[in-house]
Amino acid sequence: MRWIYLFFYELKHAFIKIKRHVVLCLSSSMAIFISIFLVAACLIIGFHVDSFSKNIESDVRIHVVLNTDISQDQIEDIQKEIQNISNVDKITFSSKDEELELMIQEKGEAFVMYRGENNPLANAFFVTVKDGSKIEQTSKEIEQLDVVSSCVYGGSSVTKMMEMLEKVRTIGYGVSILLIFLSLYLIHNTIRTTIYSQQSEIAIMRTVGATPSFIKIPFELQGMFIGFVGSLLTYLVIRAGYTKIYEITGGNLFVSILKLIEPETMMHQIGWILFALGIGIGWMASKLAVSKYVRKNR
Amino acid sequence: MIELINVDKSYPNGVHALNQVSLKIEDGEFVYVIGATGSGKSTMIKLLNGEEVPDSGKILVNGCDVGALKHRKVPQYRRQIGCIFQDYRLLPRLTVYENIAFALEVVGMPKKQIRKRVREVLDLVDLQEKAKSYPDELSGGQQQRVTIGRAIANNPKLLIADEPTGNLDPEKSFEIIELLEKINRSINATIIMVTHDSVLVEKYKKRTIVLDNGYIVHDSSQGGYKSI
Repeated sequence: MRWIYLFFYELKHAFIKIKRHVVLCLSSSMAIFISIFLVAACLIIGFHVDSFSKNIESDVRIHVVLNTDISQDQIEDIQKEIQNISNVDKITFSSKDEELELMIQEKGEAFVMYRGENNPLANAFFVTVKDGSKIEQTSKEIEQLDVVSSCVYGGSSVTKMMEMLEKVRTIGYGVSILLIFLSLYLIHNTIRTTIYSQQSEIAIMRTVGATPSFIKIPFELQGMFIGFVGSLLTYLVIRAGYTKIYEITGGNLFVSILKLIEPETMMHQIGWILFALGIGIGWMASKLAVSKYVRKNR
Repeated sequence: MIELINVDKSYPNGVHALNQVSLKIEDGEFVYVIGATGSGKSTMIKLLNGEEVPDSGKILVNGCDVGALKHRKVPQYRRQIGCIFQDYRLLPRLTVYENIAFALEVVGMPKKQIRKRVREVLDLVDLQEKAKSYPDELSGGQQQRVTIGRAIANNPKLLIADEPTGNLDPEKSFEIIELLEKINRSINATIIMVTHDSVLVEKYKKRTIVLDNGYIVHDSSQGGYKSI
């Protein structure tokens, strides 16, 4: 029972603190809003880079052409060998007839004459890789195998694009972390200001025998509330803004391979991160501020 | 019982606030501690309420070694003592009732019991009429009575009063002393009162401990300045 009374007492006092410092709380909520908004923007970019990379990667296959004079057994052996290369995800066999059909599709009916006995093409494999950025290395490994005649993939332009996307993603996540620290610092300062304005109250609480955690909890709740308001604002703005962008672009960024993530999926992915971040930052910052103050005095 | 055994306390700035202080105060005693500014009176209070730790020596309050208390045990200890200050230290945004209830809310007492106890305390300090007033609507004497009410709300065994009459005129000071005497009798609390007020000490004679430069220079059970 005692804990219930204490809990309601803490809650009441957290709201009293918020009411008393409403402008201060609002301004820190805005500070959190701005930093979490930027974090969210970085995350959205990061998620998209991931999704773009996956789209591109699934489009990037190595075309492994085998020598013409090999037996069925050798084909099976080489398939196993390629499958054993660590970065290889899937391998699909493409017989020389299938190869010809593909060629006819691509280059035109002129090649129809090669159907049947006259087919000069060799059997081949289509290999997809797990990590697109290592496609060059994987391709070289396959090329070195005995019965492989040639290996072709999208080439250096694809590798460069993958590297660039990787960089964008790393920078995005790096900036997010910096912003999280920035907002921690901002709320830390706000809570410190409210602590200073309530020094006498804290001193009286100590005199009558309040435990440090009892003194700290309303401040921590206040910080969490500030964080919650900040993340709620961010969530609403991002939701409205992202849906609008999705509608305007029709779900694609310039080309169809750069597909935007659907707003519902996006908000689902990012929503809980935003709230966890906001509330977490609010709680952490106020805990740091108030613990430092309370620990200082016996 | 309160016992100070060879207590030493100095501050980082080099001031020796208390030197080899030994003292015994029995349960239910009412004791004055007097002395000039800087004589160590405030330090003695800070040591008794656990705010400061002695450099050497022991402070025993009802068998509890206050200096050796762990940080997390200090709040529990403070609930057994009540503090009264010269500057009242009331919460300005809370009413008289709420100020007294505050001390009980902090320890998680149920609302019903709080209501009952605050009524009793308001009766004892004679402030029933002012329950809904705010501190700035009260006179100095009345504010000090609220502080006393808050200090005794938890039924403490020890009351520490740091110049409780320092801001009051003589007539109001007498009222406060009489109230403290009443509390001393009714709940049998030990009272240690630091004061400068020689008239008071002379009029209401009690055991008087005189501090000078951190030493106890006199301890008179007869009381009053003249006995020194």
